[in-house]
Amino acid sequence: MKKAADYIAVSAFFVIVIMFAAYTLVMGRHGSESEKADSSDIRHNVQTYVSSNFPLSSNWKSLRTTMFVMTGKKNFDNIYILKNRLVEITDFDKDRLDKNISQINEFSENTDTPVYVMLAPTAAGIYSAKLPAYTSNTDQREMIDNIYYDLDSRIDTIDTFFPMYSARNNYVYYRTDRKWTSFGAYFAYADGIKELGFEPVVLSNYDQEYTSNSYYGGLYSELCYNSIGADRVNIFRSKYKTTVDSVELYRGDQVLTSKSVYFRSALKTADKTAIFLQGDNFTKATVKTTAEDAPKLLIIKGSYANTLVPFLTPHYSEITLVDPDKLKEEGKTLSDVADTSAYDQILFMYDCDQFADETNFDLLK
Amino acid sequence: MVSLEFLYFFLPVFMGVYALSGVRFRKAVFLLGTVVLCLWVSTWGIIPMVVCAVVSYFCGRLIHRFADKKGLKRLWLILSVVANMAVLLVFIRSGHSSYDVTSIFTGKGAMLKLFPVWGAGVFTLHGISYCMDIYREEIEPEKNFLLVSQYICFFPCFYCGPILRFSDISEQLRKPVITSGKLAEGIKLMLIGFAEKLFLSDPMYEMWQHIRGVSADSLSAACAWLGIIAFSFAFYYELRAYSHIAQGIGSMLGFELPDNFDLPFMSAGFNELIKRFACTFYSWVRDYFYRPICRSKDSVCLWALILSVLAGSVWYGYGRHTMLWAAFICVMLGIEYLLKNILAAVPTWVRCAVMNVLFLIGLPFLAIDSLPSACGYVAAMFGGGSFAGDVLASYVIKTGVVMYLICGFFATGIGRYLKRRIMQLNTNIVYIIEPMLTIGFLLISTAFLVGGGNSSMNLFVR
Repeated sequence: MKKAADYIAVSAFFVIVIMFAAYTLVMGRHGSESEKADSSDIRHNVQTYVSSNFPLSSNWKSLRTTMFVMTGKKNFDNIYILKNRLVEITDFDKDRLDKNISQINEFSENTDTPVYVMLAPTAAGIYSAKLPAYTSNTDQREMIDNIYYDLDSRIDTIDTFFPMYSARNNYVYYRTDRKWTSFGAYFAYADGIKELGFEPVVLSNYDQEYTSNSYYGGLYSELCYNSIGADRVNIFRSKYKTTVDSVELYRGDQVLTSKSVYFRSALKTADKTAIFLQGDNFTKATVKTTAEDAPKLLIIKGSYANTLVPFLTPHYSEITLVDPDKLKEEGKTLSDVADTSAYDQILFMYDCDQFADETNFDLLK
Repeated sequence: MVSLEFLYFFLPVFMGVYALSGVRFRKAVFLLGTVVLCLWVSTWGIIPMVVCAVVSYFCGRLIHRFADKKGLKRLWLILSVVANMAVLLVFIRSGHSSYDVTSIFTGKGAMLKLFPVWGAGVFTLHGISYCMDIYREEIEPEKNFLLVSQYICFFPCFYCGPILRFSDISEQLRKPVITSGKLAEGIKLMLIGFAEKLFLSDPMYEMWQHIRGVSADSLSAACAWLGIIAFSFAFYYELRAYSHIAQGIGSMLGFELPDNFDLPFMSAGFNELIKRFACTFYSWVRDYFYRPICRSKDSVCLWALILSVLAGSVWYGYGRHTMLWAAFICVMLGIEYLLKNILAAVPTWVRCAVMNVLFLIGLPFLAIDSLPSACGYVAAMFGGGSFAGDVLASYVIKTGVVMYLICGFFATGIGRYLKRRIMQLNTNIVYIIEPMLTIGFLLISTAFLVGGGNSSMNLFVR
C-alpha cells in the first residue's frame, strides 16, 4: 500500500513538473523586446523568461489570491480588495511633487497662453472611507488642495474632487482598473468646463454605448481575483451629428489618422480602454473639429485625459494632446511638436498619482 | 532555492541525471549540480567554496599524517580553521550587501562588498567540523576527494542547515540508495518547505513589516504583540522551511539528514530552546566552539558560554544589534541557571508559557535594526504607545487570525500529533492522503511562485 502510494506521488510530481517545464520551453515566446534590452544578466533573463512564459499564469495567480482571501487577507501590497472593487493606494514623493509644481509654475511664466491645471482624484481618494482606517492612504482632497495652493496664481485650477465625490455612487471608476470611466470623466467635465469658459453639454444629449462588458483592468491582472466582476467600457455618443472631423496620432515617424476619437480595434486587445485615443501610446494627438471658429486647446496629458477628450470636442476647433513621457522616449521637447502660442488654452490633465510621479515636466519648453 | 527555475527546471534535470548515473558517478554529478547552482548565484562565489573544500581535504590528511607530532598536527588544524573562519567571516553576509562582519563592530554599512557566496555559513562549518574530528581522532581522513567535497559542499543544507557531521553521513555518501519511499518522502518534505516559506513565512513577514511601519509612539500594546509574534513566526518558518527543503532534497538524493528543529516553541526554558532551535547548529557550536574553550566537562564555563551564544547569534543575525539579542539570551540563560532549583518545582507548561513571553519580549532586539527603536518597540508592547483607536490591531486580527492560527497550529506540533494518532487508527489513510498532500503542496507552491513572484525576502538566510 505504502509503496503504491509512493509511486503515485513520485510519478505525479515528476509528470507535472516536467510537463509544465516542457510547455514553458516549447511554447515560450523567444527573444521578446524586453529580454533583448538587458541581455547582460543571464539570470535575470532566465527569470523573466520563465515567469512570463509559465503556462496558466492567471489561474495560478487566481489560486494564490483565493487562498489568501480565504484566510481573511484583504490587501496585496498596495491593492485592497473592497466589497465590489479593487483599489490601489499610492504614496507620493513630496520632493518630486514640489519639483513638478515649480516646473509648471515656470512653464506658465514663459507662455502668454492661459494655463489650467485639472487634477483628478483616483478611486483610492474617492473611496477612502471604505479602506481600512489605518492604511497609509493619501488624503487626496488635501493633496490636490495643497498642489492648487502652491501653483502660481496665474494658473487656473479646476476642481474635480467635489464632483467626483458627489458622483461616487455612480459607475465613475472601473472596478478592476486604475482609471476612471467615461461616466466619471463626464462628471469632472460638467463641472470643470465652466472654468474653461463654456457651458457643459447636458448628459441627455448623449447616447451611452456599452462597447464591452468584459473588461478586466490592470489591477485585476495583478491578482486575477475573480469575485469582482468584469468592467464595462462605455462610450458617449452625441445624439446629433458629431463635431469631430479628423484625428491624427503621432508616434515617432508614424501618423495614424482616423475619423473618430474612438478606436474600436482596441476592443479586441487586452487594454480595452485604449478605445479612447489609443491609450497612452502616442506622443501627440490632434483632434480637429468642424467648429472652426472655436478656440484651440493644448492638453498636457496623463492617462486620465483620453477619456475626457470626447466631451471637450464640442467646444474647441482643435484639441492637441501631448504626452511628456513619450516626449522623453523620443528625446523631444514640447516645442518640437507643438507651438504653445498657437493655442488659446493649455490644460494639464492628470490624476493626482500620476501627477506626483511625473518626471518629465522639464521637457515642456 | 525557492524559485520556479529551481523547482521546474534544475530539479528534474538534476534528479534525472543523478538517478540514471551509476552509484560510482553520483558524487561527480552531485558536485556538478552544486557548481551549477553556485554559478547561478554568483559567478565568483564558487572560489571560496572550492578553497574551503581543498584546504579541508588536505589539512585533514596532513593532520592524520602527523598524528604523533603534536605541534605539526595542531599547525595543520589551525591552518584549516583559520582558512574556514576567514571565509565564514568575510562572506557570511555577503549576499546582503548592507551588512557584513565589519559592520557588526563599526555599526556602518558593509565595507567588504564582495560577490555573494552561497552557503558560506554552512560549508565552512562543515570544513571545520571535518578537520576537528580528524584532530580528535574521532574519524579517519577520507582519501576520496570527491566524497570530502560532497560532504563539505552539500548544497541542500546551504541555506541554514542542518549542519551535518562527517561521521553520520559518510557511509550514506559512499552508497546513496534511491528508493521510491525516500523519493516520495523527499518530495513531500521539500514541498512542505516551499509551502512554509511561501504561505507562512512571507505573509507573516509582510504582516510584521506592516506593523513595524507604524511608529512606536502610536503603536498599541496589542498591536506590538501581534507584530512581534508575526516576526517570530516568520523567523521560525523561514529557517524551518529551508531545513525541510534540505531534508527533502537530501532524501530524494538518497540521504537521510537529521531534523533541525524539535518544536522549539514548546520548550520549557531558554536552555532547552536553544537546543531545540536548529539542533544541529547548536551541537556544532557546543562541540567545536564551546568545548575547546571550556575544557572541564562538568562545570559551566561562563565565558565560554557567553562567547558561544555571541558566535551563534552572529551566525544567525544580520547586524550589530544581534549582539544585544545575544546578551539578552545570555542573561536569560544565567537567570535560568541561578533559579534552576526553584524552576524545577514549576509545572512545565507554565515554564513554557513564561519562556515564550520572555522570548517575544527579547525578540525586537533581533528584529529591529537600531537600539532606540527596539527599546521603543518593547515599551510599546507594555502600553508605552498611545491607545488612540486600535484600528490596526483589529484589522490585523480580522485579516490575519487564520494565518496566526495556522502558524501556531504547526509550531505547537498538533499536526504531528494528529498524524501519529491517525497512523495508529489506520495506516492506510495516511498512505492515501500523503500523495494528495504532495500534489496539493506542489500546486500551492507553484501558485505562490507564479502569482507572487519568486520569494525575494530571504532575510535570515546565509
